Amino acid sequence: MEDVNKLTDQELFSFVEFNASESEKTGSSDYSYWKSVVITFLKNKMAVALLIIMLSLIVFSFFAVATAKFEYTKIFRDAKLQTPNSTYWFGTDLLGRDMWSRTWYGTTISIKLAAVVTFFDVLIGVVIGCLWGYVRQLDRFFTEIYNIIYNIPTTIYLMLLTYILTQGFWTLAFALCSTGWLGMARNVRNLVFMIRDREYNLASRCLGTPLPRMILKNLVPYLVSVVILRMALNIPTVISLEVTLSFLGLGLPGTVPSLGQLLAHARTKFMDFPHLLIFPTLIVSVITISFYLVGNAFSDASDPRNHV
Amino acid sequence: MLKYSLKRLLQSILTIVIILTVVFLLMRLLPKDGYFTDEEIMKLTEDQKYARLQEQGLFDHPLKQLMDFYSKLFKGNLGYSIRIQKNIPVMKVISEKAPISIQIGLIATLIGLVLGVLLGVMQATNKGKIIDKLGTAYIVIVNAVPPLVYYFFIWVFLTSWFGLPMRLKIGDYKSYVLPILAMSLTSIASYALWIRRYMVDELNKDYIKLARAKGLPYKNIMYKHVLRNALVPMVQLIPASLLLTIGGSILIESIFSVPGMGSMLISAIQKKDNPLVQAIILLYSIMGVFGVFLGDILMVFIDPRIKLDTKGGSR
Amino acid sequence: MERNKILSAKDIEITFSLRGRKLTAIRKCSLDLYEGETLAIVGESGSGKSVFTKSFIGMLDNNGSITGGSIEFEGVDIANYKKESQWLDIRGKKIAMVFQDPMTSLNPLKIIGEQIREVIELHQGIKGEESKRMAIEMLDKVGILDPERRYKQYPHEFSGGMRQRVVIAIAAACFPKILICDEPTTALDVTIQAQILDLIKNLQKEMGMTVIYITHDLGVVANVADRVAVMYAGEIVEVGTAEEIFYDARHPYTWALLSSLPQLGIKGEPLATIEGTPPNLYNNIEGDAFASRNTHALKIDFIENPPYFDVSPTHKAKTWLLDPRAPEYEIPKTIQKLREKTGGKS
Repeated sequence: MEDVNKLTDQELFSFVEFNASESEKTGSSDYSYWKSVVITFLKNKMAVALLIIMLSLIVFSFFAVATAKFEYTKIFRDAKLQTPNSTYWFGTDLLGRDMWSRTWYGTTISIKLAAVVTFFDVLIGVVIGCLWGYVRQLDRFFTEIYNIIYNIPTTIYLMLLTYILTQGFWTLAFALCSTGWLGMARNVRNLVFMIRDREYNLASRCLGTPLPRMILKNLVPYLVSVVILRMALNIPTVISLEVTLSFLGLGLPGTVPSLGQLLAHARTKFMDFPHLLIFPTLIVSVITISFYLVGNAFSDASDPRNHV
Repeated sequence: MLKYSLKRLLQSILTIVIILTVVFLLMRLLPKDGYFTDEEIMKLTEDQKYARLQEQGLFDHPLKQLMDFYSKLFKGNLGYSIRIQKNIPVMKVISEKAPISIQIGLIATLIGLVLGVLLGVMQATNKGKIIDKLGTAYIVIVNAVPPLVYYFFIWVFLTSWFGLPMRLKIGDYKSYVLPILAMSLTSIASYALWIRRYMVDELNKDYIKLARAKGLPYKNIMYKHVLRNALVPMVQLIPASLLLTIGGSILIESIFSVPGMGSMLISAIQKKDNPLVQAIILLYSIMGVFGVFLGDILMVFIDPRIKLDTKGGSR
Repeated sequence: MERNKILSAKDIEITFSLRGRKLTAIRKCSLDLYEGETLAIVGESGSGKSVFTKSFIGMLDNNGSITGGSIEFEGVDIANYKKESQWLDIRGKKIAMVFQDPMTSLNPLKIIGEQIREVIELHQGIKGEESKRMAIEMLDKVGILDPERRYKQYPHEFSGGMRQRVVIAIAAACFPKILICDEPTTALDVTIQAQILDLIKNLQKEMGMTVIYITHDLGVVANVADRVAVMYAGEIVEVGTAEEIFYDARHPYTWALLSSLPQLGIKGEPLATIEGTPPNLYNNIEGDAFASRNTHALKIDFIENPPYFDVSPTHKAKTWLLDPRAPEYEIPKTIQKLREKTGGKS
């Protein structure tokens, strides 16, 4: 037992004045929720890579459409069914239209559709979800509506709607929105329930925490992560539905080269001309898989249990 | 128990009634051309058309139309097909097409269930390892990519690789293989995803901690406790998924030219045969609701914790 | 009285890695467990009591591990066990554990009887009717009436106290050498608490088990313990017989714990508390961890961690106050009162 500071035994073994504030020093945790979310997300290399790929693809598609050499509707009668070459980078289709511009145009259509639908889904979903969760009397009512809509097979419903209304971008968008908000609303409603029923919220209220702060710190993190997750998963769904419907001839009108239309188009000829199929397929797959995986990665990252 | 079943049954019936009414009203918005054949559209004058429609009660007060609809419904009369098979009762038309859809739908769901659960269990017991990652990759692809893409892929490539037919012919069992396979892909992914998720959720629970402290080996815990408990909520999903698949994947029927209900619906829509469209949609909706109802009832049998009317609200 | 050491932990260090940082939950703890005794480990939440005992059955969380020391049990250093299969020989069979919350400890979808029978079949290799009979016998032993009928029931058909009895039945079914009870009565009503403690006591006598109680409730300690170990910030700061700890406590933390018993409060005056909060175990701790909250702190407490000083062959404490160079000190008034009230020696 050596004296580290060269103090005498007497001095070392003297009482020290009790200091209350020293005793409180624990070193607080430097945990910041959002910082941890970002860090955890960035640790997932694949998700980050996909995010970059996906964003580049989207930006590029718009760029490609704007700078395309040939307009997507222009028919070149003597250039039918050409395989990819130096003039027509993706080849041409049955009628002699440039596949490069058609494919990228179709991509932008799908993206636009997904964006519009998702925007409204979020808007309507969040608003209704909050109402649903907050006003107890409405719960029964909305739950019934949810059960009803949930039980109608989506594809069928969409087919019906496009059958009744004229085919077009906005019809499809409307049709997709009319059921899409449900899932979002349900999630938001569950969140609102949580906000009321969880004890830490009750405790916050008792401590006199002002409502805006409670909403910001307790509700918003959950809300944002749920909304982003839903959005990310919504997009592949929307694209899938559009592709399916267009393929069946019930989506966008035949003149609009959506990705689904392109696939429908390729139906009869692709065996000899695979190029009609490959590019739309590839692009669709990359976009949908990216959104799905990035969405899941974000969801994992926003779960505090993963912030280890 | 009985009280709960009854309550759920009534709820389901109410839901069906509401769906029926909504579909009916939507149908009233259908293009009026759907009530005439092509010939008739060209030949009949506006007045004649109007008269015909009036005859069918299409200009009556909506409520009256609704009443008529229900009364006819109870008599089993869903109308006559206008375009597809002129003047043949819709019921007959559907019943001709239904069997094949049901057949392949049933088999596909069964395969989906078995393989899906197998995959999910393998994933959960080997969490983080290669099989888990592969399984997840499979699920991601099936869920993210538009089904059309991989159905197409199967139709295009697997048919030539394995020398299987590209169109389904009733009776030719070789031609059934690929459509059923394609249809089961999404089921497999669904079931795998759910079972894995349920199992992983169970793993975090306290009673599993005790099971470990008891000295139970890993495999024992996984199968006798985790899996067994995870299967319980699964039961609820099965009937609904079964019935929806039976509805016949519309896309599959289109690609493989399966002469089932799905293709029928497409033709009916393309040819604007209103009564037929209406009837098929009704059928699908009823199946969906019924499926969910069955699932709830099954849950009561399987889960000992559920008593009478402790369950409410939505899924 | 020569007693066998049934388990001996020496200089155990347990660390967890959290968000890239290391947290040292247990900082060199040593503990000897003697056959047949009842040892109570007391301390605040977060002192490390549960973590310490979990290491005896290899049930630390995934991000934790034993990074130092040894645990000798049946001639083997089990702190070295790396494979799950090694632990399977100990868990439930030689060392069993009873957890805190009976409401969630049982599998809700399996009948009670099966959950007991499972353990019997596994560890004793007895199957069929015989194991069922033994399970029913166990139910009877823990005081569940009509055991034959109860055997077939599900957990949700039992009350909290009865579920805890079932958990105890499961733990005791294979006659383990050591039974670790992690706050077994905290989640139960006061009236039920006494019953459960009695049950464990009786089973212990009947089966010759050694019992470790983890608790923050000194009332429970007074009821059941032969020896007591007091933990603070991942260290055992004082250990001795129950009498010695209650009537002759030497560590300032133990004084503070005892003082905060509501029973010692004077009407009209504020209850005694311990100022401050436990230290952050991410950081390296210099000196005595309790120093900043210690009203009897010496300067050296802030510089160097005290070693154990023996007060008696069975009683030692980790405080510089026991060093021969330490000045005279006054035992806190509340402790004096405690000794007077109970007529104990000082």
